[in-house]
Amino acid sequence: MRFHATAICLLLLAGSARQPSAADEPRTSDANPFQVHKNHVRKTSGEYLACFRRIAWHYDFETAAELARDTGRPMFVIFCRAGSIDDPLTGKPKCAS
Amino acid sequence: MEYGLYSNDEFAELSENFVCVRTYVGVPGAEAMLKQYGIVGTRGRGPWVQGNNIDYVFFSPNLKPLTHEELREVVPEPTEDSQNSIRWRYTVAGAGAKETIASTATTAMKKILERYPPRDKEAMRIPWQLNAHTAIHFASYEDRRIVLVPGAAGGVNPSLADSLRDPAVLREHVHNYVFLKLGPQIPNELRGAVQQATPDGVVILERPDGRPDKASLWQSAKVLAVSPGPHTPASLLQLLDKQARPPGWDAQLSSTK
Repeated sequence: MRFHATAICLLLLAGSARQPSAADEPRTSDANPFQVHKNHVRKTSGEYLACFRRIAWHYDFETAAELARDTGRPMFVIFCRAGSIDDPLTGKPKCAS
Repeated sequence: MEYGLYSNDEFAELSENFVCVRTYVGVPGAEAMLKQYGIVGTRGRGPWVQGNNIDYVFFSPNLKPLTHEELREVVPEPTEDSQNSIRWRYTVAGAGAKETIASTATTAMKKILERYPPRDKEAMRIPWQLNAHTAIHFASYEDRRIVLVPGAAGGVNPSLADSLRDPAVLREHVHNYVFLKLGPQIPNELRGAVQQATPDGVVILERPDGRPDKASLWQSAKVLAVSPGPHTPASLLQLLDKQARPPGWDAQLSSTK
């Protein structure tokens, strides 16, 4: 008898518990991140960043030129214009190309 | 374009036989470096315009740009003809098309390596940043933390430099951090950390959120660790292991791809 009363109480409690609604979904920005800056959203994915790290980059010609001369290696120089974007996750400006 | 190139296995493998440089027009110091070698600087209509678009060039080991036709060494000139003869993106068939970006570059790389076979020598160097502007740019864009090395007028402490360039340390962390030598001018925001680090120690900074427009470069710098010297390769390795930041700050966004 006591078991039945406990079970009924539990069932009532479970039934009265708030059901998940759309408002409980994790909040995301109203803006579609792909519309915010679609190229850079793609570029800054973990997968893309991991691709950068496959290459041993140098950033100043002084070090690079010395290494090239010392090891007989030719050089590959890639460049573009720097800019900044608003990070769709944090809303803060972030470097981009 | 970058995506097709860097994610290409053959490009990554061939790049080990090259000295690879990545830089940006528009970041203080970097543009002057590119102009010095005749790579950018001529404005006008056409493929030589400095726009948002990425481009690349090859150099011989003795720092002469190579033309894309015949791979000839040339003396760079700040003219559109000169730049068009060495820049690939808009002037070489297939160099810009998504389907052929990687194959065009790797075909050229193989030909260049036939002409300039690298000597079998250790090719690891500390990839020092050009300056604080490029350090903040690359750390922010590539989601890396900054290894800040205090340097007096005489440069980096020799014992610290030896530990940093130790192959075990560099192989493990050359891709994980941005390395910056701090000159004798220490920014106010970093003065306390740098003094605590001592001349043979290092400071680890969190990835910045971007390059500030007008404020001090280091205004929002967050110091993660101050590690006074002296350092051995083992102690540096331990520190860098602990502070490395894996790529993927936007794992949430990348899952929506």
